[in-house]
Amino acid sequence: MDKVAFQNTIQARRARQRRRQLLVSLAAFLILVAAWLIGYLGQSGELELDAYLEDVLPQAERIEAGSGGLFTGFAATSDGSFVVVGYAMVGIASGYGGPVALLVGTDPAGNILAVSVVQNAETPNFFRQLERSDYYSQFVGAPYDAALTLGDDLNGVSGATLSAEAVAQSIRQAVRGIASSAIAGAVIPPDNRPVNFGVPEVALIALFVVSFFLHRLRTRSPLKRYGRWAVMATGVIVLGFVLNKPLTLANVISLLAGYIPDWHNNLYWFILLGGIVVVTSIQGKNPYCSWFCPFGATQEFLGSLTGAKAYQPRQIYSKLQWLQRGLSFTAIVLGLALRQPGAASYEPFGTLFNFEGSWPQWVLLILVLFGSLVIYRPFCNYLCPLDPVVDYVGEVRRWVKDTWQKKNAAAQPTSDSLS
Amino acid sequence: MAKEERSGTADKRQSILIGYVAICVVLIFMTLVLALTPEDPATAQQVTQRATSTRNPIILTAQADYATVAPEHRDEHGNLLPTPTRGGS
Repeated sequence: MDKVAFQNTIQARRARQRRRQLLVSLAAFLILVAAWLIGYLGQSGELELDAYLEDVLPQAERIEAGSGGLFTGFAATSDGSFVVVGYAMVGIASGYGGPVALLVGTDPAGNILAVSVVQNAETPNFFRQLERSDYYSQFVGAPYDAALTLGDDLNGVSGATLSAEAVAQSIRQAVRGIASSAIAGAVIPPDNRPVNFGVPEVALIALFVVSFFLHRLRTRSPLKRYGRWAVMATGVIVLGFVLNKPLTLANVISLLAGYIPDWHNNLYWFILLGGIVVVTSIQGKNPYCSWFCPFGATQEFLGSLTGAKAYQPRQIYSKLQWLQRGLSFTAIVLGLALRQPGAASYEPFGTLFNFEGSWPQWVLLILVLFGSLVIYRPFCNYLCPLDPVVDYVGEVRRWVKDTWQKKNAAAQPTSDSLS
Repeated sequence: MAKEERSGTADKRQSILIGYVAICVVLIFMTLVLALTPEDPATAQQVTQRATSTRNPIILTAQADYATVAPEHRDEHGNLLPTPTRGGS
């Protein structure tokens, strides 16, 4: 009798837990939808261009909006008539955190007079690098038929490649648009966008493949142990310090917001996100976080110097995990509602690998690095916003697998039914 | 006694961990506030002066070299001629 009562209590407790989880999941989903709608509605208005037009067409005394987004600037002559002194148009491309819009002003022959950033959702510290490295000045004076391509007639900006590419693409789009709309007889070069497949993409695929096969080895296998250290070192050096392209929350928020980057220039991100989802779904183990995440590996290297051990006290670990999920969720909601994926990505990855960050990020980085000497991967275990996101992929996998197994078990004839 | 000591040490370690995580969380919120605040005060002043709320101060201009625009070319296509603004006679 006692045993039955105990089982009933357990079942009732599980049912309560399931109901609570369902309510929390539903509430979280509704909040995400609300944040998405707030961001969408807040952004759907037209760009405010008046002040920018004066900046990119400084000689114009009168600016008229024409069809196809073309603005024409006029100046008065001595006899009182007006002549065309330039054109302007907006170009938009997908950057690291979302759309990057630039207004471009040209002279009547299509030579660029000025460029102005009208809108961006990039990580502020990285986007400012373009200004600091004098990136924009490369465009001024360029004719409409110039290549305006990174590595061709433009120098990129280390650590802000995606933003630099988005700016170049926006300006190309705008200046070619001006030429086709306003310049008679303009010969517009085709917009050749070669697929960007190089060392970063090859390195990333190699890391996924190697870690996938090493995962399959026995835990105590020396090959697995040394292989893991080699993969982690490659992650820190290549994905961290050389490329500065770790996975960040900005990538996740961008996808949720519907900002799908141009795959020609961003194949790396598709491989990274797709690789994590595919390998986690197949293998049930996330190869990125525990193996070649450069920030995680850095913490583990530091911990190995002092023999730092994982510290997850039973009494508070569950609460701290919920805190981590809450942080991640808050950042995602803010990023979606404000349509600022780059700004909502609070990880100090760029601070370590590119020496860029706000002062709280610097302090956080120092705390994490010192903490790594004492606790095994403190940022991964308690603070990383990506951990709950990747866990979610694992949960979906488990749910699909369980449902599949239950369905199969129900479909299989039992021995009773056969007899 | 030894058990109490161990328990005390465990409590202390937990308190340190909670304190450590709490400081990190505060720093994370400060990071978010700084990053999501539209502009710093200096730029905000510029924003107000230029009457737009999402203004980015990046602006680079070059003087137009209207000499590169051939008047004959514009005439042939029936477009208006630009007025030379500098270096003209």
